[in-house]
Amino acid sequence: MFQRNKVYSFIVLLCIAMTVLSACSSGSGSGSGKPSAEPSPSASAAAPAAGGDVPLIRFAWANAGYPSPFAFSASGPAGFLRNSFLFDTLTWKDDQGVIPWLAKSWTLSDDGLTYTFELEQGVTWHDGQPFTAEDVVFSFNYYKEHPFNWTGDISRIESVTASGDNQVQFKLNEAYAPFLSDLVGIVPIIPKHVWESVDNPIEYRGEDALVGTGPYKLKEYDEAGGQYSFVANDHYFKGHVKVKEIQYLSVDNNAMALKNNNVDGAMTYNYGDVQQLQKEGFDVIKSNPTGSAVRITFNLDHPQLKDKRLRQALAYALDRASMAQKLTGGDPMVGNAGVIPTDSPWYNPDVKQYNYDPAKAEAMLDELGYTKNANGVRDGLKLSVLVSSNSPESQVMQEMLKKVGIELNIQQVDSATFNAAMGENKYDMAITGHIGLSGDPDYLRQWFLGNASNTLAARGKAFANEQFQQLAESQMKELDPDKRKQTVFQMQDVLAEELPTLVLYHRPFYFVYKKDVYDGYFNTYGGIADGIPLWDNKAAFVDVQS
Amino acid sequence: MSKAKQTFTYVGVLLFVILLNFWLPRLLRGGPIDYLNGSGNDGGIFLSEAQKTALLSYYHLNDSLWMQFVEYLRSLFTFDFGLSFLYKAPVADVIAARLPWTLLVVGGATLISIVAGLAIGLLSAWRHPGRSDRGLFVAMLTVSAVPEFLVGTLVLILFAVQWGWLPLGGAKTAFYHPGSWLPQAADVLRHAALPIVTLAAGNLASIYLLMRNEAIRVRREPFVEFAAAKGIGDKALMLRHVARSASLPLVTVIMMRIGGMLAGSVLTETVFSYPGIGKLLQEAILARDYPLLHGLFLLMTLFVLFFNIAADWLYPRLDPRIRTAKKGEMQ
Repeated sequence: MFQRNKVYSFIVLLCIAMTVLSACSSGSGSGSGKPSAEPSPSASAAAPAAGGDVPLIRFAWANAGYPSPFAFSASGPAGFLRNSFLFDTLTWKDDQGVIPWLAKSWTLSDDGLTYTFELEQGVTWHDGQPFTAEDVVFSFNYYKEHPFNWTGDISRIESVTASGDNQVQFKLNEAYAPFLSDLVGIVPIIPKHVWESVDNPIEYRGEDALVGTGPYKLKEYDEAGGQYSFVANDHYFKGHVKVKEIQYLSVDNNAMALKNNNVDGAMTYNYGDVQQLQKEGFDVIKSNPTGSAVRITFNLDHPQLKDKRLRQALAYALDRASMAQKLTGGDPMVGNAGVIPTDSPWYNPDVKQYNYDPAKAEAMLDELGYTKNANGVRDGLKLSVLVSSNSPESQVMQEMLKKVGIELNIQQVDSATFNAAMGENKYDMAITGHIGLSGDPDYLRQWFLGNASNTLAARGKAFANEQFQQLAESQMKELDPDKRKQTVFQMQDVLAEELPTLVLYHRPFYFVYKKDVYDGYFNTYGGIADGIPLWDNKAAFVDVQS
Repeated sequence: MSKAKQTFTYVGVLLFVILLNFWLPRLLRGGPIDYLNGSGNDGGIFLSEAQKTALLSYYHLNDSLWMQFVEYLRSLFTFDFGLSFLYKAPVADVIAARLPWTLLVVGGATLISIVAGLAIGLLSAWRHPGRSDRGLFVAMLTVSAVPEFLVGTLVLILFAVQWGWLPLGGAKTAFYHPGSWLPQAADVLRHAALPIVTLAAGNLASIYLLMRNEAIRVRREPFVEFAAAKGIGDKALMLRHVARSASLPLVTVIMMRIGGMLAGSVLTETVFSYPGIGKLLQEAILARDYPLLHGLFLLMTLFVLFFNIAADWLYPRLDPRIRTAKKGEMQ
């Protein structure tokens, strides 16, 4: 390894030397210090991608089910993303945030309860039928009876009505700040002429089940192997579709598949793999904002953990900076005690933080009466942590807590058992991982008010803090962005003080790809849809005309 | 055992397994909705209560356990197990899409392990006692002691990663549509090669051992001695007389092995991410996909029972001595 590194660095040095020499000689020739306008070799390799069409890109991802709005797999973001290639929503997101999509423009009434959308004209479904306001009305009514398979809280809507072929009005029950991004930006519009006669949408596999308005059509889906092939919709209303075919291949090991040239792009959060692949000439994008968290959920009904001083003592006892460094590499991002990642626009920079301070932790534990015995162990305090997969975090935690005299027992179970235990509140602490933390901050309300039935967010268990609950409700209804931000800042203050959860670190995601195949990827502002920090945003494959 | 008694045993086993099939998956902690709700490291979904209730009622999971059991019994007769939670498609379709792959791998492995097991076993018996017999014996025991997934990982690393001769996994190259069937078949075989070898390696030793021991025993029988005395050559003696009479008891073992291999394909298929029913079973267990589990367990049960019945039926027809013994018992 060392030997190789030496050789490698020697070659690099040699290259640098040669570049400097040639730059000097050309500089003396032209007589100007301006950098050359000539494209660099890598840029020229990317030129076909920037200019002409790309025939095919292959991505790695596991099977995510049949991609109709009712049948895709809801575990993980892949099913939703596959579906979004076929079906469109009223709004969408690009690297700047929410943008018009099926809706050209919109207005909001003064009371904040009625949105009026102006729809794009001349849009056709994949089968050639025209798309109209009736389809939008139908979709939302249909989802009331047959829920969409992903997020999007339809119950916020009182009624949807069409006024003419190209205008739709949404009346809300009460003001709902995340409406544009987290409701009409997620729930896809489906064709009335197909679904009005379908009573059992989950099972429906008719030939027209995947007729959408989206930039792609499904050419082939190998259900057993989990392979998808999407081909471009040449009559796409939003602009020319640049990438003619996109394949999703189910591979066992993303890094290996990239190296073996089985795929052209894949996601990973293994920093070691990223470094390795970069050396082999792959390009890398890091998710920005990070959009994720690995955290400890405390059982607030636990006789000992219900005391916030114990939770705070644990926070001081954990060296989360070194944990993040060990587990994520790169530039580690220590968990915000106020949950929101520190690179999110909603992050409160003044929130209380818990820097590693074992002395303080020990003092707090002594004060709470958990004294050490002769062996340096606090027998009065035996905690366990529940993990659903092989969790290096729990092992690091175990070591760190041992130093302050706490014995930590690690319980590893499979994910269904994990979720059952979470749902029934039969755990002390649990380690969970989430994405979607850079999108609309309304997830803080959903997590801690027990509104989400997501077990990872401690289903059905509300965080019994009146101040927080009021803030959470009011931020949801606050339509003024600045005022809303202040409320979200206050929520973070409460969370950081009370610590119903302790974020260990924010895990960056990496996209590893080949620039010469395609180079049009971008980080979606706030994450795709409800905050998915991935790169297969359909807008990246279309020449979007606004 | 009388025929009636035998039938009774089979029906009894089948009934017991049918009961077990329903209750066993439900003894696992957590249910399908718990799985759908939390999704490990990619988790970010917020199922609303309305969405969750719709799912529960759609899959009849909010019915009482007895209602679900009645529904399950009904499904046994109609072979309609309902929708898989995981794939949201009829269980029969989900299984049918994967069964051919498993049959290919299991069939190939059965064939190879039988042919190789018998041949090496016979060779070993021929050379008994001697150094090559002992060498083969130790080698076979060693191979059988290595767990299947380890063998799989090993050949995967060597053939797919290190040398790049064979693909990493899957059953065929994605979206590969050559004009004719020959390259297509070659592609399928290239993908199936490593799983077949792995599965065969795990089953080789038992067939080898039985063949070797039987052949050594038969070799000492008077009729072989007599044949040798007649002047029949060593080779002909081994192949015509010893092999034939030694392979008889192997029929039962082989039949039972095939049934077991179907279940044994779980590990192999997982290592090679091969889209057969073994991998499907693993997914179904993790997701607590009850309908799919019912379908898979029933299929495997029927498979094992079928081969047992086949062995029971075949054996007396191959060995007349057993047939007479049975008749005697009945009288």
